[in-house]
Amino acid sequence: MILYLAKKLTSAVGVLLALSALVFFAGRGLVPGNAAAVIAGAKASPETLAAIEHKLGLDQPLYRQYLDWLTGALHGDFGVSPLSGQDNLQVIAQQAPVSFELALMGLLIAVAIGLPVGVIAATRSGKGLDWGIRIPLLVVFAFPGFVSGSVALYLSAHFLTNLYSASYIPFSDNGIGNLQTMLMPALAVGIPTAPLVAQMTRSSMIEVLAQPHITTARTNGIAEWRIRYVYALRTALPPVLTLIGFIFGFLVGGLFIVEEIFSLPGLGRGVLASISNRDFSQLTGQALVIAAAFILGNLLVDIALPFVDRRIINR
Amino acid sequence: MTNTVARPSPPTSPPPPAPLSPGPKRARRRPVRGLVANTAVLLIVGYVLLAVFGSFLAPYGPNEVGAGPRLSAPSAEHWLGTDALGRDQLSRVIAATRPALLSATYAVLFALVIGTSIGIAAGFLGRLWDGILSRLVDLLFAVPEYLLAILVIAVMGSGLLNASLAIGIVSIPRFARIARGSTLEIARRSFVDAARLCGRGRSWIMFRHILPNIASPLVIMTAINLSTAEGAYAALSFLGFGVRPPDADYGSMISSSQQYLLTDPWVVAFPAIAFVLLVLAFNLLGDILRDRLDPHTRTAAGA
Repeated sequence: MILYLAKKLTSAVGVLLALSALVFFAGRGLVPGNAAAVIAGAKASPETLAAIEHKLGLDQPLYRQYLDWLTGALHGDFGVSPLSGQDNLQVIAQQAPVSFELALMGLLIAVAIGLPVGVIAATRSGKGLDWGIRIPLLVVFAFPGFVSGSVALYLSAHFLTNLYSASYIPFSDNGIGNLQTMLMPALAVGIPTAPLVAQMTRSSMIEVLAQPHITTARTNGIAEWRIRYVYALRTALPPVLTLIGFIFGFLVGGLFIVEEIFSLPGLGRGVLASISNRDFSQLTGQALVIAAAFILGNLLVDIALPFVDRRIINR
Repeated sequence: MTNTVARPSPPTSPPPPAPLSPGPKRARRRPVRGLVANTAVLLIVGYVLLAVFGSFLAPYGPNEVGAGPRLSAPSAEHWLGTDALGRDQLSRVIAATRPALLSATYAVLFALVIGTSIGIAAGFLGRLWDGILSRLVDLLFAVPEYLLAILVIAVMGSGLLNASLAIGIVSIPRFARIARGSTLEIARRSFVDAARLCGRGRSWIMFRHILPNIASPLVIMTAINLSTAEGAYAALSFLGFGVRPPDADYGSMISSSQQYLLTDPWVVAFPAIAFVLLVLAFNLLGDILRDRLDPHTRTAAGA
C-alpha cells in the first residue's frame, strides 16, 4: 500500500515539474513579444525596453529565469505580474475557489445523474429501454459547454430569475446567494458530462453482471436489487472512479467556456486574460494550479481505488 | 517480448484466434446497421455534401453584410433569420460546416498517425523505447486537455490549422495508449515470431503484421475522436482561437451572438442546433462501432 502510494505520488510530482518547465519555456522562449514590450508600449525606445527587461530579469538566460522562478514557486512565491503589479499568488487565490466550486458542483451533478442511469441501462442491456436511455445520453453528450451554457443562461434569465445574477456573488458575502447563482453554471458543466459517467458505469456493469459470482448469487436466491446495487455495483466501480478523476480535467475544459458565458471570475477566464495580455508569469502559475488540481484529483482516485478493490495494489 | 517462443502454452489449447474480438456467444456482425446507424451515416454524408457543395446551395454569401435587416426572425427570405450584421444565418450555418469537418479531420489524422506510431513502437520495441515513449504519453495525458490545447495555441497563434494541430497533439495519448495495449497483445502471437524467423525487419513487422491486426480498436477510437475533436474545435473557436472573424464558424457564431441570447435567442439557437446534430451523428457512429466491433473496450466516449 505504501509502495503503491509512493509510486503515485512521485509520478504526480514529476508531471508537475515537467509541466512547469514546459509552460515556462514555451511561454518565454517561443512567443513573439514579451511582457516588457507590452509595458513599454509600441513606441518605446530600445533603451527603455532593455531597462524594463533588466528590471524584470528577462535579460537573463532562460534556464536561470526558470530556476529562479522554481525556487520562488516552491516557497509559495509565484512572482508579481509585471503588467498589473498584482501578486500572482493573490490573483490565483481569488480565482481558484470559483473554478473549483464550479468543477466540484459539476462533478457531483454528473455523478448523481450518470451513475444511476448507467446502472439502469446496464440491467436493461440489449432491450428497448437500453437504447431509450442511450440515445438521449448521446444527445446530451453532443451538447458542448457553450451550448449548454447558453441554454442555462437563457433559462435562468427568463424563467428561473432567482437563480440569475449578472455578476458573481462570493461565497463569503452571501453563502446561499452564491450557491443559487452557481447552480445554473454547474448544471451547464455537469449535465453534458453525466453521459460519460453513465456510459462507463453501463459497460462496466454489463461486464460484471455476466460474471459467475453474480449467477451464484442469483442461484442462492439473493434479491435482485441487492445483487445489482451491492454486489455488482461495487465490483463495477473502479473504472468509473478512474473516469471521475479524468472527468475533472474534462470539466476544466468546460470551465473556460462556462465561466466566459456566466462572467465568473475563475481560473478559466484568468488563463484567457493572461494569454491575451502575454502575461506569462501569471499564466504559468494559473496553468500549474489547474494542472495540480487535475493531478490531485487523480491522485485521490488512486488512493480511493484500493479501498474499493484490493487487487489494484498488486497491478 | 523477444523470447515469447518459450512461453508455456499447452499445444492442445492454442490462444484464441482474435483476442480483441468478442467472446464466442457474440457472432461477428456487420459493423454498422440499423435505424440509428443509418440516420447517423446519412447525417454525416449530408454535412460532408454541405461542406463541399455548400457555396452553391447557400442563398446568400456567408460574409455578405446587410443581406437582410439586422437580427430578423426566421422568414421566407431568410429561413434561419439574420445575425447582428444582417448576414443570412442559413448561409453562415452552411459555410460553417467546412471548418468544422476540416478541423476534426486534421486533428484526428494527426493524432492517429503520430499516436499509433508511438503506441506501436512502444509496444513492439519495448524496453528503453517503451520507457521513454510511455513516459512522454503519460505526461501529455496528465495535463487537462483544454488547458494544453489553449497553451499550444498561445504559443503558435490561432487559426484553423493551429487549432486543429493543438487538438491533435492533445489527442495523441488516446491513440498511443490503445495502440500500445493492442500491440502488446498481438506481439505475443506466433505469427509475429514466424515473421521474425523469416528474417523480416522490425519496421516491416510493425507495419505489415501489427498494424492491420490492431486496426479495429483504432477505427473505434477514430470515430469517437472525430466527435470530441469537433467539440474541442468549436470550443476553441468560441474562445476566439478558430478561423478569423468574418468567416463563419459554429463556435465564433455562437460567441459573437451571445449578447443577443436573451433578446433574440434564435441567433444562437440555429448554429447551436446545427452543431449539436453534427456532433451527435459522430457520437452515434462511434458508439455503434464500439458496440459492434469491440464490446470489451472500456472507453467512455471522451476517454
